[in-house]
Amino acid sequence: MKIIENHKSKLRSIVYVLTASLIGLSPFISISQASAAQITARSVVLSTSVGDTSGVTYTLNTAALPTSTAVKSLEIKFCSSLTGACTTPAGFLASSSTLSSQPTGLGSASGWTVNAATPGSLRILNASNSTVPSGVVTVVWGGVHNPTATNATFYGVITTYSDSAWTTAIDSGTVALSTSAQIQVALTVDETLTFCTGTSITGEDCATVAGNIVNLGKGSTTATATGTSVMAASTNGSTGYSVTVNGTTLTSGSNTIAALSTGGASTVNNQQFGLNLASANTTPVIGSAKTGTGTASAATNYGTNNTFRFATGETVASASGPTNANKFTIGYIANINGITPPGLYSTILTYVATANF
Amino acid sequence: MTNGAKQHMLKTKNVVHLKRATYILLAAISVLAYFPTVVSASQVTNRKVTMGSSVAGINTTYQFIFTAAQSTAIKSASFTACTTASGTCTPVVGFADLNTSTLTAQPTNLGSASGWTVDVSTVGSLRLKNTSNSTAPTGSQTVGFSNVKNPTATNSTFFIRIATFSDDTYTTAIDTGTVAASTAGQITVMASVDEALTFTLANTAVDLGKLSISSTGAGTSAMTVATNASTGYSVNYSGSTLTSGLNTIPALSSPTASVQNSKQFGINLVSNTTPAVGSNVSGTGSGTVATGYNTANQFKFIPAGEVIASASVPTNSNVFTTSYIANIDGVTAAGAYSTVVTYVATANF
Repeated sequence: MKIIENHKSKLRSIVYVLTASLIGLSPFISISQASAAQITARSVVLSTSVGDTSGVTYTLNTAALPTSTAVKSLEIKFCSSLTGACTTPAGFLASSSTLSSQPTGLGSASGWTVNAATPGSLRILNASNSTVPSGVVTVVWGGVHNPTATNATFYGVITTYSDSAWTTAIDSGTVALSTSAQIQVALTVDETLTFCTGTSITGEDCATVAGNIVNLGKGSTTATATGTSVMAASTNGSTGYSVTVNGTTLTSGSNTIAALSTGGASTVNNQQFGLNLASANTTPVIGSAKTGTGTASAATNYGTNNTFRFATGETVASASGPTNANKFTIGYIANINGITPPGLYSTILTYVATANF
Repeated sequence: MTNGAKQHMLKTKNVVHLKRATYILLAAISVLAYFPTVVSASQVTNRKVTMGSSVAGINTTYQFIFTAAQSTAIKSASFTACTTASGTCTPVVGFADLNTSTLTAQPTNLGSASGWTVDVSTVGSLRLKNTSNSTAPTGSQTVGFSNVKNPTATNSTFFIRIATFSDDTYTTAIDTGTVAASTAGQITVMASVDEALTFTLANTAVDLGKLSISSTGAGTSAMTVATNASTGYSVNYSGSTLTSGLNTIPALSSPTASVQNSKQFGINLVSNTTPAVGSNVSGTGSGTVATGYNTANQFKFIPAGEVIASASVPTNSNVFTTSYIANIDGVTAAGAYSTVVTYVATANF
């Protein structure tokens, strides 16, 4: 019985001593908890958020660390959730991670190395660092493989350590990250050819084309009869387009006014019919320069001032590449001589545009 | 359950599984059958269509030039007109709506040089096929159709979708491509040429001078004539002979030489030596002097009128010089003799 009482007494003593010790140590315990402060202004920037992508760069940015303890290692541990035990996001892999550059704000400016031993964490260490951290922190890892899931949130727990074995934590903080889907923007551009002919077109807008009769008036042996029509064209054909003119010369029954089939100047008191797309004819004054932002031009035989020509099937205008719209003014001339039989002379000209895709 | 019954059940299950697998396989094959048509088709390059005419609604030619992307033998090809270049094809109103198209010629470089026939069974689509072709296309292909009706709308863009097929039923596409084309308005150019007759007389009076029995009175007048009349013109004159009151100098009713000391009045339109008067016709026109008035030194005058010059076709200007001569004899009564000669030009349009 006495022996039992002695044991009880010893036990009480031990309890008292232990209690006293705990009470005595309690100030120190509270100090240790207070030093694991939260890292502020923290973020982890991914070079790409595409899921299941290798070679991704992860950049850690934080405000100056709150601690005045030298940091010897740092870790970002990636987890699927912040509740419960940390599960590495499926597909995330740090095994090939590299340190893209020496970190800033962690103390020593050099001597930091990567540690890729833990597939679920990005780690660096510098066992010899004794410099207290200051300034904003930047750490850049390369060679990281993103989690597999698309549009999935995952988390990174950032911890600094006072040892080089990621054991004695100093400060910590958590960031949320996310993979995301890629947006593929697609547009189909179809083949186009816009072409119209008439006697008036507003700007180069084929929707406004109107008219189809060019009246040269009365032929005379002392003056040249003139008139104009217009045409507009554009295409996205890789080698542009060409426009041909097709038809007969001016005809009245069995009588004709000879066409300038090889080109020539307008001469009164001669039988002549011709046209051109030149910009500034003076003899006679007819036609006008092309308009529009396109790159098309009049064909050589139909683009010289005061030289008129007409031969069916010939190309009168063309573009050698895709072109915006141009409007061409086609000037027509007719001359007669004294024996040109009377009558109403006319011809129907058809312009054909061919785009080359 | 006996072993036999168990084996029978097992066999039945196996058969069911086999059937299911077969059905699934068939379904998969039937679905996949569509994909080669789409997936394997490549785009034809350097493609264009040249229309014989861009006039809306008329029949014309269509020539397609393109370069096949693949070397698979082509057994059929189609050229389908649509209102858009891609997506569901909406036929273009009027295009080949009766499809009377023909092959302009056997296509070139499409494979076999012969054996291609047009297929007009589909409205709005130009087709050709060659069931027996086993030759791969080479270089640039040319396919021409004739008698193809253009779309009805004027100044309107439309698209032709080109497709080549490895079968002759236009099913399994090899290559595809689209070209854009456009109808266009026609330009009517017109000019009027009016009827023309140029007729001018340079003189209103001709003085033959003082007549004597030993000299011939002579003088000239000139007239210019041109016309664009289809059968030319004729110039007629008329007037009395030289007259002074009741006295006259007789006219030469037939071509006669000038003879002094005789009563004569006559004209001609050529250059003369007896007397030296007049000029031949000049100018670039085709007018001529009428018979009876075209011989040198022979003069004539018919008071009732007669044609003295004419042209049978449209003619540029000619200048005719009329020579007048008069002779008197010793008994010719004194006086001032005169006449008014009227010239009339008639163009024949």
